[in-house]
Amino acid sequence: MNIIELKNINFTYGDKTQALKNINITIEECKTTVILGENGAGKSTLFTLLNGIIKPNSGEYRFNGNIVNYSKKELFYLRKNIGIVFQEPDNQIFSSSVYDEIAFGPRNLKIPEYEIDNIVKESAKETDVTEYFEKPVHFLSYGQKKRVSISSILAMKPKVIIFDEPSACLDVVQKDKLYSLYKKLKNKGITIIISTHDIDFAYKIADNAIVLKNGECIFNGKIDDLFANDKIVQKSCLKYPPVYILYNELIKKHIIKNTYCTPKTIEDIITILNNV
Amino acid sequence: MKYFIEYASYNSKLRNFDTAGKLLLSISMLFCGICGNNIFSLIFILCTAIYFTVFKSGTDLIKYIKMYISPAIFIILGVITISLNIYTERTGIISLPFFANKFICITENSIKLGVITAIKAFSCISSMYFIILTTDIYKITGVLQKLKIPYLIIELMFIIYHFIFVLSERRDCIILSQKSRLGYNGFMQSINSFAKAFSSVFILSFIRVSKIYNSLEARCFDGNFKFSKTDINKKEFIHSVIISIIIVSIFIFMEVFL
Repeated sequence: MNIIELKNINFTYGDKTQALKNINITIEECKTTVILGENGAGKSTLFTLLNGIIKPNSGEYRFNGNIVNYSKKELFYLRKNIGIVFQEPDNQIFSSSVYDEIAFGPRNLKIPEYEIDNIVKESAKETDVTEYFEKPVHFLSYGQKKRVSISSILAMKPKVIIFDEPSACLDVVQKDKLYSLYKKLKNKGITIIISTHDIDFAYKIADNAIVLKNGECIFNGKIDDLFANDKIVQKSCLKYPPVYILYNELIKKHIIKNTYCTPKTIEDIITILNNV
Repeated sequence: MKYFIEYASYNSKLRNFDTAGKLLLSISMLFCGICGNNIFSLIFILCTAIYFTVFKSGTDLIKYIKMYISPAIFIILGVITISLNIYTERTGIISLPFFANKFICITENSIKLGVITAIKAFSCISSMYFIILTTDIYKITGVLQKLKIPYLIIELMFIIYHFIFVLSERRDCIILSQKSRLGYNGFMQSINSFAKAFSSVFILSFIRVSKIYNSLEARCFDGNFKFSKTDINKKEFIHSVIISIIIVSIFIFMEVFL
């Protein structure tokens, strides 16, 4: 089932920059969708539009099958169910302590204070930030801030979580932690939308992909279909993931047979090789 | 020095002491500072606040003294203004001719008034420094909310506090980038760079503020900040009440008898 559907969406900024041009996309529920594209392709604009921060100039936006009419009630419902983890945690973290930052969303949802405490502890545990509860946010490292910003969204228990460039500026350990978190969220049935330039990372975690170029959607489908389509990959200036290249080379050289279940990681390829 | 307030409050030995109690103590000292007219009683308040902040809380003394530099400049200017008076005849300790048979004079009374005003200002500042250097901002907002202080004031306090950091972070980034490209080599170059930094710090801060606002809106922000409520520890609060009563009593005694 599609949780998000955009039909003929157009959006132009005040300075006449057309950020989104006739966008038609669908996002499947409980799946991970990556949004790929160059800088300035319209990814961040699309995210703010999905959260209802900006309103399209024309087109139809459906969430959970219902048309979003941008009334106050509708926006509240939309923002409750679609959380955004912004690229720069400094632009997201506002409160003076980690606890207050995580509690910010639930308090806006008017959840009683005794329940908020449990929610905050639970979501802080997910991203391993419980020990920083009373720490002023200025004293946190970039990775810690990133985890706090993710926690603050998890605390709102949204159906969809949008991650804007989540792996940017993170070290390998943090990236691995992030990967485990995605898997955990996916298992919980949360729809994940990720914008990234890290093709390897995208290939590893995504089920579906959307490719944007100059504000237009040039691909919306399964990630395996994306890399099977040379024209789209070239047009969107993407690179093939090393795992994908290696797998295809191994097939070409007849070292392994096509399993029709594309490996996503080096470990997957090792498993296939071990079975040869 | 930028994050000193947060650093000091986070590492304060009195951090976990009841916030309402500390606030009461701070306000009592502030009230004494405002009402006091005796130099000894004001010095007593100043010393008490310093004692609690530096010795009891463990605040770094050097950095604490440095925090007085900026208010000291304004206080000294104020004291000079109070001490100087214009008279039609020579009077006081020092008198200098001004114009049209008028003299700028410094009298004993004006010096005394200036000194009392300065100590009064410093004792009030030290009382406020006591609360901000020993307590996290979110705990202060929590107690203020419990004390039914108008919400607008708490919100303003919180927003101002937050945006001081936004502005100072932006300023630091710009100055660092200018310094890395020899932007402060020579007097004229420094003035030029400073002017550019000054003009762009507000524009960049404005852009950041709009991004922050987007992130708040994305989390159902309805225009009202909701702060955590701080619980009152009765035992510690009673401790603070007793200490406050002692301080105020000593202060009154000094005011009356010295």
